[in-house]
Amino acid sequence: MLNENEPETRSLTRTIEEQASAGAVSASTSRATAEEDKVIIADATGSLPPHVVRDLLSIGVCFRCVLRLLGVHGHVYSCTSLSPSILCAVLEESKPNCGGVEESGLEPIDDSNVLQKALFCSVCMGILQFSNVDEGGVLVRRDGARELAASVAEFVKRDGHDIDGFAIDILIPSIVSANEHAARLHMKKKYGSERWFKERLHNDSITVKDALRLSITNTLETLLGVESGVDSFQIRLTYTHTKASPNIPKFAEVNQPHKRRKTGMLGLYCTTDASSSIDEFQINGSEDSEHTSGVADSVIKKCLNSMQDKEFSEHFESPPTKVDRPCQLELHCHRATIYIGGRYLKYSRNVSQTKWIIDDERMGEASVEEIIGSNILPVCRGDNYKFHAAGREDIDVRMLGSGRPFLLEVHNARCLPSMVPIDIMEKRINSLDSKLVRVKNLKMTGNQGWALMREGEAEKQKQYVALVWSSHPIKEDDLQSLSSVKDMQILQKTPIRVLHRRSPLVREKIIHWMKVEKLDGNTQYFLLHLCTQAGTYIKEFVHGDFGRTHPSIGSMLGCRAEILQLDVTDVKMDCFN
Amino acid sequence: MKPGHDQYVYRHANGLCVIGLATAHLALRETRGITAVDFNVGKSDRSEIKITGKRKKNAQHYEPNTALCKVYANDTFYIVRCCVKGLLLEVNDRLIKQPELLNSSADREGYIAIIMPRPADWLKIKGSLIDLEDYKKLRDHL
Repeated sequence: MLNENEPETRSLTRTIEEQASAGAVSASTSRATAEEDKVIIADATGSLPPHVVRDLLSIGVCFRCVLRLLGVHGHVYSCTSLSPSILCAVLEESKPNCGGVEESGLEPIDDSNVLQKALFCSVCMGILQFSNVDEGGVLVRRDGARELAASVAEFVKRDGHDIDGFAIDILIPSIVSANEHAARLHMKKKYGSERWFKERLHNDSITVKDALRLSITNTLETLLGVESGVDSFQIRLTYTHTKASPNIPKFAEVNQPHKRRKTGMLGLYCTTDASSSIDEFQINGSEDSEHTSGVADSVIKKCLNSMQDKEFSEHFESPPTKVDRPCQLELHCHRATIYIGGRYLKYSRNVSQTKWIIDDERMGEASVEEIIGSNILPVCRGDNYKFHAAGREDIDVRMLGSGRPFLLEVHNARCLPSMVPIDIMEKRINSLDSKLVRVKNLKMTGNQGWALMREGEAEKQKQYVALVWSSHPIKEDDLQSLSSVKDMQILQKTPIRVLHRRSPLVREKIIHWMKVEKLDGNTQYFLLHLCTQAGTYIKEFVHGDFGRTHPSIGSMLGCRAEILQLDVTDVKMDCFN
Repeated sequence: MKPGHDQYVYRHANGLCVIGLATAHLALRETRGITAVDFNVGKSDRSEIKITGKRKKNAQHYEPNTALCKVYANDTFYIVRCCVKGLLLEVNDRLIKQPELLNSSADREGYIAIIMPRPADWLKIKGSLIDLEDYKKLRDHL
């Protein structure tokens, strides 16, 4: 597409060179040098049709959007020396043969005037002019990408994140897509028959998002001192515009009847309203919302593309109207969730696994979840945490021996995952005066920690020791019958104590082995060591739960059996050993 | 309720109630004890209802005087009732094949049913029941 007009291109290159050297910008660490920039810009602008450039500028399209709409791709947007004056050059070049080449049908315009006429771009609504309204509603005008990058960098630093890289995520209001479509339609109507129009495949031009990303990435890398392309730390720029909110159709109906939207369209616009995406972003972390906004964007694009041009013009103005107020910009930083795995031991019969509150009344003096979470969170400097464990024990059951695997999710940690001081966390928890809970084998894991913990969860074996009372003195053959058990199958109806919240079912469980340890001078109390399949209710296996667990220790001994105390002594899993 | 048709209601802290025959129930005092249990009373067979899921789909709502089953002793039968208003979660179907569980341990393996009352309904009915100590005094002569 380049060099169809040799002499013009060459002279244009010269002009650009002069400008670039005049306004020399120092970008020592950016990938492209100033020299390379010049070449790239010259290449990109070389073949732009001047009369269209002029027309687009006159309807309030910013110069970056002009480049985009005319199919200019790639690195030109990341050039720090890119400025509106390059288009002056294009227009300048075209002046001498303005009348001869093509009939633009426009009055001769003062070029400098054209460039300043529209306050904010009628297509990108200020996004590619790096101007916006801040969260407090104050208008922020910026002269270039560097200033926006500087604001972003400052925000990131203020948020206190240690970073080793970043990714930029951009959300733009759907109205921008509509504007772009309108501008294209305008060009199609006016220049559809011209040769350059057919050559420039207008449908795959670079998006506002990508252009913005290219514009600020290099500078941001310099300012933050790290490279981009690291997904674990996201900087999100959320642009919203009142024009994109659902209340605009009313406004449109009153003032410009032809701009009315169908209700179907309206619904579609509401879904992409950025405020909901922000909520998701904060709650679910980055991946989900990225997905959501991506889908919504493509839906909009599809919808716009499938509309007939005539139908589109019924709902939207083409060319798009100028805007006097740019988008509102909100910045967010988010570190991908980090996971800290390990095993915990619980030494108290009055500490629950998770925070347990019934009717505003706390059960137990503390919880494993809170003890571990509240000591790890400040070390990682995260926003909040979530505790997961491989199974659970009752509040009155101790967790001894190997400990139980757990995973702590820390959201938006400010420290680098690679720099998390694991040993400090471990010390902090294990040196608590209360001595209710201990942790061991703490380590950082990715979200594969999940898989580790869930793997074989149902088959894993657990070992217990229980203090049991029987209504009859136990005899030697009782000991024999209990100790000879090997992989005995039992049927367990959902215990009455959990039947209010669990489904009524009969579950098959395996008792792998049992051993009786007699207590000196006692025939009705004994210690029962047993190893069972995960998910076996031990208390019910001892007393039988009204015959609902069968067989049970009671039924095997032929008398009543009650469980007095229980400890978990081993959770046989491979993870965090 | 008819005199001598004594029943117990064991209430778990989670609100569930286990219903069964109290020690002084007339049926338990028959010479050969209880010989059969039949859950086919009222409109449906109580042991045929398949209740599933956390939300106890298919569970029936019964009144305190709704019949749960008939227990047979000698030539007569006695109707066992729900005692509390609530969802019937389970009946002890082992009793169909092993009615003698009622004679050996009516208070445990010989329970009749499990009912889940709404907390408000429980508060209403609670006052009309007597506790174990009072019951023992009442049936002191046993």
